[in-house]
Amino acid sequence: VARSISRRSFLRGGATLLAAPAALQALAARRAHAGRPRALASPVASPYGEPVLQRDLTTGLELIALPPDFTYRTLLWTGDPMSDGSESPANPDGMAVVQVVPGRAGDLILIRNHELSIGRRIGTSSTPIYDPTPIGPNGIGGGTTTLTFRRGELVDSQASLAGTAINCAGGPTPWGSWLTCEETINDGTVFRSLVHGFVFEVPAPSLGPASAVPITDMGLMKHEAAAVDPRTGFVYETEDATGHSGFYRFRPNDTNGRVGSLEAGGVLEMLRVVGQDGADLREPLPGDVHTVDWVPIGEPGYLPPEAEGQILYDGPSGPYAQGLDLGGATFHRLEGCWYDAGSIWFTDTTGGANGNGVVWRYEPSGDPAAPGMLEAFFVAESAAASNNIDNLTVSPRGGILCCEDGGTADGVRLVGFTRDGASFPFAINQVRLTGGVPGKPGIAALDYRSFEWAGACFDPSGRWLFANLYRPGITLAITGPWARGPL
Amino acid sequence: VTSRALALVALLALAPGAHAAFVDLDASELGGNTVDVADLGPGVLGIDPDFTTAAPMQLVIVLEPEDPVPLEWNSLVDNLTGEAWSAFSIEVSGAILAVGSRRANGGEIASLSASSQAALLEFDPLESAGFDLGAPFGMGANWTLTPSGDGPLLLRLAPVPVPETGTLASLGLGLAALTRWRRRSALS
Repeated sequence: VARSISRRSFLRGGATLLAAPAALQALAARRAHAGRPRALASPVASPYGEPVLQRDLTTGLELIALPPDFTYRTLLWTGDPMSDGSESPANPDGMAVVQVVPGRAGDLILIRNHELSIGRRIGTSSTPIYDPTPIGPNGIGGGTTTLTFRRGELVDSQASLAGTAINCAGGPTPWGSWLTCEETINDGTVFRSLVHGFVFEVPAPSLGPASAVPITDMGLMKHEAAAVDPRTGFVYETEDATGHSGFYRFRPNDTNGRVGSLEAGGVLEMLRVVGQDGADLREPLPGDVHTVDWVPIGEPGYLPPEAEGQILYDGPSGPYAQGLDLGGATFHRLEGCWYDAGSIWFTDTTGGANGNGVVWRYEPSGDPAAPGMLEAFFVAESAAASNNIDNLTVSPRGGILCCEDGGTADGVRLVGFTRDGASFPFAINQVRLTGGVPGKPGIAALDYRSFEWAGACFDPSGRWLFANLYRPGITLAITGPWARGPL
Repeated sequence: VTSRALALVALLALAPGAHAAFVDLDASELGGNTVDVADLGPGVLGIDPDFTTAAPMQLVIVLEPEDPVPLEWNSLVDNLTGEAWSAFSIEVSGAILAVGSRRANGGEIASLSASSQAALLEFDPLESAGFDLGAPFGMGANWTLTPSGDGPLLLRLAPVPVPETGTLASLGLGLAALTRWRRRSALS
């Protein structure tokens, strides 16, 4: 039986994950306070104003709708040449600013995932690679790219990890790296390749190249996203397996918080509702609050027999099955995951009675052995309120922003949340390239408005929002008068 | 990219021990904002203001007799106010201003009007992130100040924020109410 515990404020002041100039601390301190969880059938009006179609300051094309006085620039399109001589890969997905380079320019280092499976390997012969297995003329085509953004423009771009598969989302670490998550379970027998379904660490360039070593103790599953609690070093993980997803906590053996420390292994655990073994959390009501703890996963790398020889396995993962046996809770399809100010926020993209999505908030108790609190912060009652929210981020001001994954024909949205938990449209995908794009022959002439947003993330100053349009594969930088609303 | 990075490194390498003018922060008025000042070599200053408020800042620049003139300077201006700027004004006294390169970060510079004492950058689209003046990364031309007397050089930097729609509406309602009140007062 779920029991209520006292609610705490929605968003509280606190340090950002990344070091920010002292002058920016005031931004983080401007967080607003508690609101009530909401279930809404329709969004509220945007506090920033209705999004209107605006031109890209790089190409002059009208690609997205943004609130008045906001601007954007496209940084990279699929097929654009990168600084290392390779082409910008397709399907940019999860992304984060992982480092602010010390110095006058304050360069921002972004790392992007590319959700690709079999195809041309990304990068060059010097790109760190996990699985070099040739598959015909191709190979395992997923991986990451690392971008350097300086004061409104892209100044460097490199492939940073190759030979991984279906790199969906991931998460930044407080020590300047990116955890990239493979959203697949593949034992490698079909292509005589390596096993896929792991998390890898990719550091900012100043911290060295990626080791390309899987962090196997974080589990073999369809990983989606990861968030590090900087107070404990614990990593929270979401699983994107339709109908049988778990929410996990990884307690690393080495809690020093440095590049490579997670590769020393640790303990994987799955969330359980106290007093309600096997709780089904796929259709929560708004405001549901549960007391939760964790059950250990004995063999995080366990491959279920049903998954052997499969390349598109979507059944229960080994960690999920073990956790369920010990009373772990089930979600529908977990996606984005983000740490902010003592809470871990995550989404269930098809959660809720109508399957339109749920935003959950987990608040650790402070004692790793003591139960924490799980709250259904937002439950969408219609696609208009939010259509399958996916990646999630929290701005330095404490505002929540989600990427929609629903195939809305007239434009998929970036959805923000007001302080009291109501959704509003912040930006709308309006990419209609039915005539193609001059100078970009690799971009097919199509209407792309129904494709998802991904990888939304802010820089530590809160001035820049970066996001990906998954198809045709565009990375954008957005700025504007953020103080007019909660983001 | 590489040449820009190398140029920056080269400029910074000159800094230790180099002689140059300086900004007297004790005598300056920052309006609640902050500024980082870097000695980029003989006669070259890096002046990087961070605006967290819309209040202007006035910097007092001190030149010494052996300083080369004109004084070159470049700036990385950060807009941390959370609001959009429609323009940015630069005024000087005690010196003649000569403009150099400029580049918007988030918007675009629609126009630059300048005299020997002032410059006004107008943004369209609006600027919410910041902008660069001069050649902070080695590309372009620095701005310069040529002393016109023996007094201190004053550099006044002032953003021009855009009131948000709600503020404009409130202002309009306020003005309308004021007009009605004045009419009623006049009638009575």
